[in-house]
Amino acid sequence: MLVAGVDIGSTTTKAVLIDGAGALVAFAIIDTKHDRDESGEEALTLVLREAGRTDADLTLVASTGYGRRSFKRTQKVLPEIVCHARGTEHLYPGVQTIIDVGGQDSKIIAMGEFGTVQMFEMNDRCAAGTGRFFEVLSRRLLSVPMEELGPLALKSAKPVFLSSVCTVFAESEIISHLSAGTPAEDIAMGILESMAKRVVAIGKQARIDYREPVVLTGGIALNVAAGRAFADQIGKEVVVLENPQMPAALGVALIALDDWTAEGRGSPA
Amino acid sequence: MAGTAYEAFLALGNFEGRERKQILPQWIEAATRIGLDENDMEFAVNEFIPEMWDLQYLGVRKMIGAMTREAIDHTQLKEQRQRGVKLVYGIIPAILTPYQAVKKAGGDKVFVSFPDMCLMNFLQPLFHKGAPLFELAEQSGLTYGCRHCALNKLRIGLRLRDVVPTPDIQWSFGLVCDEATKVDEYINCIYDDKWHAVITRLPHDTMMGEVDDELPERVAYLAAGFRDAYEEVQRVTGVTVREEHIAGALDDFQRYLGKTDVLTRLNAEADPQPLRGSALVNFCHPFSMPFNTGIEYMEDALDTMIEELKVEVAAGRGIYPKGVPKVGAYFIPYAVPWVDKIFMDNGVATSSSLTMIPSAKQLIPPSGTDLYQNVAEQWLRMVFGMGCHVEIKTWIEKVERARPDALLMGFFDYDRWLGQMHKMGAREVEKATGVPTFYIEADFFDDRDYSREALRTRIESISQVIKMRKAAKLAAERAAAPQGAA
Repeated sequence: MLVAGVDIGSTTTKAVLIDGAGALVAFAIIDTKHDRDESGEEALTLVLREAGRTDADLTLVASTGYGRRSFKRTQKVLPEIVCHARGTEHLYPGVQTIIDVGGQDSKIIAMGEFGTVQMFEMNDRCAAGTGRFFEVLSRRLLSVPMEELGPLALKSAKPVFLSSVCTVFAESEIISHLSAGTPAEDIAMGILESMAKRVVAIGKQARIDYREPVVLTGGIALNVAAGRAFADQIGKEVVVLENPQMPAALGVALIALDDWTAEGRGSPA
Repeated sequence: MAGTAYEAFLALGNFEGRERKQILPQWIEAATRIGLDENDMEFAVNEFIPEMWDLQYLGVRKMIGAMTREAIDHTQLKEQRQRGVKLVYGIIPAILTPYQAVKKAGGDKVFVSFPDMCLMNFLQPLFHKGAPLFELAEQSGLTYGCRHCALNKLRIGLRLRDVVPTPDIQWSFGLVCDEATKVDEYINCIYDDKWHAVITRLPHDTMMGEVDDELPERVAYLAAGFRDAYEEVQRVTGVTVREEHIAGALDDFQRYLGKTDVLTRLNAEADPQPLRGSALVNFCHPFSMPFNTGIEYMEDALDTMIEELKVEVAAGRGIYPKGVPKVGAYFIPYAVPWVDKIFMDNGVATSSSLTMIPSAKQLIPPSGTDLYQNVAEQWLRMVFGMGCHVEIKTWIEKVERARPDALLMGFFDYDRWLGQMHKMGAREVEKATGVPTFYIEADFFDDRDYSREALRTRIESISQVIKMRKAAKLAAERAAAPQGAA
């Protein structure tokens, strides 16, 4: 048995294959295209190729993420909160708090009894505190490739303070810092700290107390300085998963498998 | 054919035969005055209302009819004023009783109304068409977006559109919604210096642990406020409110409240649930606002709905599958009914509103000899008439009674009082009852700034979390049950 989970996000599309026992078989990631159905297909084709399997081997296909309903071949659609929780719990058993910073939204998930979501909060209206905020401000203004931003930020001795949490107004503030000759690493870390502050505040407003262990997921976690920025904000250790972009795709596959098994539609073996 | 869609709308509101033909020209005129055209009728009749409201019930159709009568009546306010009818306005938060007493006293000589609430309840839930009036208020100077209550915007918009003329008196309750009274000042200062307002202030300097309606001096204080306000109403309108009118209004309030309790219990306790939460809220409006056409039409709709629900419950029928989780809310956002619809699409029933379930204490009629004090007690027992800490205790009582699987808070970010209180209260309710609470940052009346996709994701997530928690809890209970137990 082979179950595919596809997470079609605003920036990247992730696909996971698991077997009937829930073990990870393969993972693939691509940039999301304008056509979300095509993005899902492409990611699924890629993950099957990596696993040396074909469409014919698939028992179930499930989708989540921003483009979840656009994926025509999906047999099960789930919102990403529960998928993030399930996937992260699988990768890091006992996790109590999940901070997920995606391209378009940020989510803070407090886990409760039975390994399910107790509470969550996410940004609804504003890009501040999302991957897009970081991307716009860092790449465009500092002209540094995303993969180099983390190491650059870690060199910072005196991160700048950004008074505005709005993407638009923060941009003009950064331009002022650049004009004043502020080192790029201090701006890079300042942007990360500003974003972390905004995200942590969203969770606090929802009465999430950041119980440990706290796990950071999403594309932002690929930035080696991001964990530090969040840890500084909450005053607790923040764990970064080896593959922080995988949880939602893995989670939707696991839930689909759970439901399949619970419905008695076949042996998980 | 011209007018067909308008007539179809009336049919949907259970206007029949000769009455429908007679009222049609008035309805077309009324709709035009509040900015509705044939396209809006077709949208409402063919798409929006069938999708959002449980039209299979005669009670729901009668309720739409009652709201339509009231809306038509409101578009005649100018003519009423020209004929010498005295206009008495109010605004929520309030209770029916003080205004109902004025109506009982004045009859056709007085028009008693919360014009913004009445037309908001009509335009948004049935036509999704409040925006042009909100925009009119914003073009006049009120800040765009979610910083002001859309009800106040509608009041200004209706005034500017000349649907709502100057009242002879605007009677409101101050501090609970401080913006409402400021908007009266705003209208008075900028547009209409005849806009005359009187405020009866609730005590609201309550110490923690004190319960307003149980403190004689506080009840007496508010009762004195009622006496003063009635004097002012009498001075301005010439209508004398006597004790018999107040006694009748007190009875009307208690009777209607009792019936909404029956409806709410029937629906909340039924599995499968037969009625959506948005409809439930709409049936409850008459205990928190007056109807100039009388509460009789709404009461008839309510009576019909109760009888229909009894039949459905007895037959084990519902509009949701059996066993779906139920979510209670501070106030199910009936003015944005597509929120309720997303819950339904995701297999979660909206079952009860904390504001619209009577508390045990509310169901006991005040029995003092001073009728003004009895009105004061009724007011202070209403959730939005009491201090925060007492209100939260009342929420806990209601959650324990209705036992929803989760509680939804939010939708009042624009309100300085409620916006924060929801967050504080949610924590206390969760601690006391174990019922998980969720918060949605949104506007109760105005959905122009909603990101539909973001809200859909949030509601889908909430629904999934509720379902998973319920399933996990049931599994844990089954595992813990002694072997052989059912």
